Amino acid sequence: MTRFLHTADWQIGRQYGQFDVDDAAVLAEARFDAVARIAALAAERAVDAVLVAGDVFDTQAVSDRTIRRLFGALQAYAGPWVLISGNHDAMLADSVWTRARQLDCIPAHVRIAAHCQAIELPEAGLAVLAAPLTQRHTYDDATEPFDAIDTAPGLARVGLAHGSVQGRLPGEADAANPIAADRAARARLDYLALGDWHGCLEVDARTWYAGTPEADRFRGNAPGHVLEVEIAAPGAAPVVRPLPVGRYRWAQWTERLSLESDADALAGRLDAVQADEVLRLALDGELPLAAWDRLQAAIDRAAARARALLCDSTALSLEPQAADLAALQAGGYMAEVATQLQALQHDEAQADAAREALRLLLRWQREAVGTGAS
Amino acid sequence: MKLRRVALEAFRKFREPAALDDLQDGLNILAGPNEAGKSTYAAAIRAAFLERYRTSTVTDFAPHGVPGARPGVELAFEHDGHDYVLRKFFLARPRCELVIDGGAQRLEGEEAENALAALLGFDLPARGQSRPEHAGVPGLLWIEQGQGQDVLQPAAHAAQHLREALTQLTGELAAHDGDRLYERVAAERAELLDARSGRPKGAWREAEEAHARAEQEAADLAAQMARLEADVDRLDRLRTEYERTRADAPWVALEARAAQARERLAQIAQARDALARLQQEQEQAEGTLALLQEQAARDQRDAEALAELQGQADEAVAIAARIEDEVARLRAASQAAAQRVGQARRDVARLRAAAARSDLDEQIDQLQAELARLAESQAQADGLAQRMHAVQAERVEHETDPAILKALRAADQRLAALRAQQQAVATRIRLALAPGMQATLDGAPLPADGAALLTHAAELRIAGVGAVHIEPGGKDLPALMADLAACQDERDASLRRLSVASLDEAEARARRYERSGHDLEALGRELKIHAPQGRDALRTRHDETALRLQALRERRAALQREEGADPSEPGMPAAAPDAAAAEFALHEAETAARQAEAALSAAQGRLDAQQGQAALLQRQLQALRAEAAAPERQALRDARATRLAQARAARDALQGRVAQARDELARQQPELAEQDLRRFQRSAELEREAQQARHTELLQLQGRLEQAGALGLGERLAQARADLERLARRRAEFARRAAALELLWRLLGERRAAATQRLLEPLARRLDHYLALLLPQARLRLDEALLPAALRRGDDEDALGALSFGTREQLGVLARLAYADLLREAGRPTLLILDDALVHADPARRDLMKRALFDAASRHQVLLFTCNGPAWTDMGVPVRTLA
Repeated sequence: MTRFLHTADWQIGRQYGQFDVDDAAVLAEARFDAVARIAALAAERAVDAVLVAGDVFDTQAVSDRTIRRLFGALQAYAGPWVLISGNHDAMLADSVWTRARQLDCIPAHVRIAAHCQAIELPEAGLAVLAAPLTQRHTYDDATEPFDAIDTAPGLARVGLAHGSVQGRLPGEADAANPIAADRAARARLDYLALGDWHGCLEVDARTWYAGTPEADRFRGNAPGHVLEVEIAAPGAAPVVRPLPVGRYRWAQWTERLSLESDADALAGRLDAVQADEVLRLALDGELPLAAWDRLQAAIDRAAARARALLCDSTALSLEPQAADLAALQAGGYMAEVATQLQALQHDEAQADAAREALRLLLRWQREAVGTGAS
Repeated sequence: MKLRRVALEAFRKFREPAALDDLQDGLNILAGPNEAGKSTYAAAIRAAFLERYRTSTVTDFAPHGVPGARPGVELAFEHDGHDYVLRKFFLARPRCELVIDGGAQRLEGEEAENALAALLGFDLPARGQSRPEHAGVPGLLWIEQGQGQDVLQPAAHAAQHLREALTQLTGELAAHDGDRLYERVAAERAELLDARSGRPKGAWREAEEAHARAEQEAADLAAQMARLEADVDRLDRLRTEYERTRADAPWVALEARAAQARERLAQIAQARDALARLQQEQEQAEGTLALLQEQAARDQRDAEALAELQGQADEAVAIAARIEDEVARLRAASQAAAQRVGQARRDVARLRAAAARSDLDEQIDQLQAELARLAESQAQADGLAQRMHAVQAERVEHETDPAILKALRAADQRLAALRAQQQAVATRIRLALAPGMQATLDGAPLPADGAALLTHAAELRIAGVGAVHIEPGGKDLPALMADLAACQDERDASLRRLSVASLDEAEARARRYERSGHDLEALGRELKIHAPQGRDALRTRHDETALRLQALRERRAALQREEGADPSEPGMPAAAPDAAAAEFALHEAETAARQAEAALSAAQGRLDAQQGQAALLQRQLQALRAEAAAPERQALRDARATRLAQARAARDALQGRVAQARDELARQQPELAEQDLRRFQRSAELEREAQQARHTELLQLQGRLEQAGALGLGERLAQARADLERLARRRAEFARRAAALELLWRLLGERRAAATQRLLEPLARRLDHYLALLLPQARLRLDEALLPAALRRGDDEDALGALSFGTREQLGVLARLAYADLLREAGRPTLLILDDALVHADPARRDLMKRALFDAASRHQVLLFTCNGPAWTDMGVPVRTLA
């Protein structure tokens, strides 16, 4: 009976350019925290081992400090860790792993597979068939040798690999690092722990992707989990439990607004945004002024609450009414210009400039009125 | 607004109260001389409205020299259905009172002033005197003296009121906010966009630059990263190669094969040595054989030489004999030739002698003749000489000095002439005496009928008569007589000198002298013929010739003797009389003789040589024969033959063995073995070197990568890319904002301009109306501050400042009329005051301006103060005269 954690795609060292510096720093830090949480979870649940299926680092040339921090984060769990290299951190002649060795920061209980091999962990009741990626681009199936590797009889055979399962992943075609869909069966594996797909995904009963423990992109795919795998005995079917460890929830909302009620509904949803959300908002359509004001307010509030909020409203046209303009004391030729801009919002070439111009006009007029006309 | 009455008190020059009453609607012309107080009234009206009553700075309102004065102005006017009376007192006990509608409303002090300001459209200063910027509409419409040409300043100060009026008229909504927004947009735009080039500036430019920099940095880092990755790949490859090569150790195999090649080469070397030795032996054998063969050949040659020598000797003898015959023959020929030569020589000599003889004879004859001639000549010459001598002697006697002769002749002639003259001049006496009478002239009897010439005084005595003394006249007569006498003397002298008695004699002597001279000459010539060089020479020649003749004769005689000893030889053919032919024959014979001689001596020479040769050969032959016959030589020869045979056999054997050895060697392929050795050796070296190089490079690469890894390049690159993303967003935002501002600014600007145009429209219309009266085709262009900017006539546009003073003055008035129309239409009070406003107009322009004023006066009240009353009598209103 063996129980272990399966995780992958930690992507340590990833930079988030689409956020501003502070938010990006927090999100980058969150990745270390996730690793620490995994270690804590492993210790808490007293698992026999933790298998990490590749892409531990997001890039080869991370700084020494990052390497040390990462390995430092593993210390909460003293049991065996088995790490393999993915495509981002491939085991090249000179790689992040060789540097880690030079820095001498790899704890003793952390095993890093240097080539396709079987790592036997008798204490854990596991024989890990590890297929690290040793090239920057691998075009053949690195798990091929599994079929021929034998392990000690009493140990559960668990494959640890990084790549895309042929034909089983939504939307991927002809990806690099292919893995045969039936590898678990062919290599007589009790469980095949995979990495590369960032969502938690069951390929088949014995083949799972753990996904990244901390979401790192707006595309969904259910990130933020580690898998706790229990194998009663060699040959038994594995029992897989996804455990949430992710801190932040990333979401992407694309909204098309045409009525005031749309805006209000959206505002309502925005008001429900929590502090652990990372949200990207893309707005499209037309709104009258008041509705826009309300929505803008809701967005601002949500931005203040959420971890990060990216809002792109450049495709949203404003439709101020005559009453709006009058309220703003935008009379005379100002009103004419406002009308003109309103119309231009629908013109292909000038839509962006027109929207922005209209907003500026309304905003400044509002300010002028607000400060009191002389 | 209509002003009805202006009353002054203690105001400037009006110490006593003064008033203007009954001011009419429309035009009021107030004329007065200078210093009549016209401007004072204008000033008072201004003061009443514009100046604060409390102001203490208007001391100039007070009449000069009146302390404690209290200048006061009272105005009565009506506007918009209300009557107003305004009273204002300055300086002492200042006061201001406005009574409306006869007391229905009464305003005091500041309240009154403010009401007036609101009514007329001006501001009151906070403190002090009113300044132009406060004057508002009155400042515009009430033209002070000499201020007419400046309309921009007053209009600017009244701008707000004008604008309000325009806005009211056009119904254009207040564009206040529009302007404010426009300005804000312009300002914001100017912050981001450079006004002229439209390029980013300020924060946008910084954003662009930052982005560019970040891009560059990201690119650099990416490049470094790429290099790094390439290095990593290379490291991988190198390492694999190194390990593989180390395992394979290709140099081992190569070195083994090299060793093999070396062994083979050693073997080959041995075989080569053996071959060399055999070859050497073979050479020796060849040498021996050659030697022996040579010796045999020498023997052979000796025998042959002997035979040949024999032949040669025999031959030599034969040749000698032949030559001997030849010599004999040639000798005979030579002798014959010599004989012939002698004969020819004799012939020639003989002929020569004969020739010489005849020559001599000839010469002798010649000389004889010559001699005879010479003798003859000599005789002749001698005769001639004698004759000449005689003639000469004779001549001497007849010598006549030609000069004297000439003189004589001349004298003679002159004498004759003189005598003739005398005859002519002289008195002639012709007598014709009676018979028997006698006359004597100077004692000389004269015939009875004779004549006589008297050249001098004479006495003619006639017997029985007496004596007549005659003195011939003629002035020259004495002179003549003198001359005559002189001449006669001269003549006589000459005669004496010549020793003759008369000229004739002299002449005859001269002739004779001459003739003898000729004769002498003739003789001399003849003598010369005979003896050209003189007789002595002739004689000498004669003697010489004689001697020569003698010599020749002697020679001839000798020759004769010679010849006599050598008579022509018998048996010889008749001597050819032709000497030349004989000479030629001699020459031929001599040549032939020489040739024969030469041939003979040559043949003789050859004979001697040949004989010598024959003798030599004979001797040699004998010696050689003796030598060859020696017995020991024979023995040697035999022995040699045997040895030769042996040597040949030995050599053949060796040859065979050498060939064998060579074949064997060739089979071994030594070149190939050598090549193999070199090849394998070199290859092994190269392999080792390559491995070494790989090792070095590996170490280097590892070092580099370690270093790079420590720099955290990947992280920096990710960072840089993230930054780049942010900066790109920022830049895009700026760009978007700039585009929006540009659009907004453009649209606002367009609309604003259009709105302004519409706003200005009424004003433009009124201006055109007035301008058409003065300058029919012209238009004033207004700027957006509602001020006239330039005058456009046809295609030209002149800025106001560029126009003449007079024109500006006129335009200033017209503009004010237009503004006044505008204000009136908007229901504002308009009162126009012109204080001597058109002094710079020429008569034509003034007429036009009058039209405009007349027209304007139909709408506004106009107070026209002028010092030139008569000029304004054609306005249809009375001209009021101020005292």
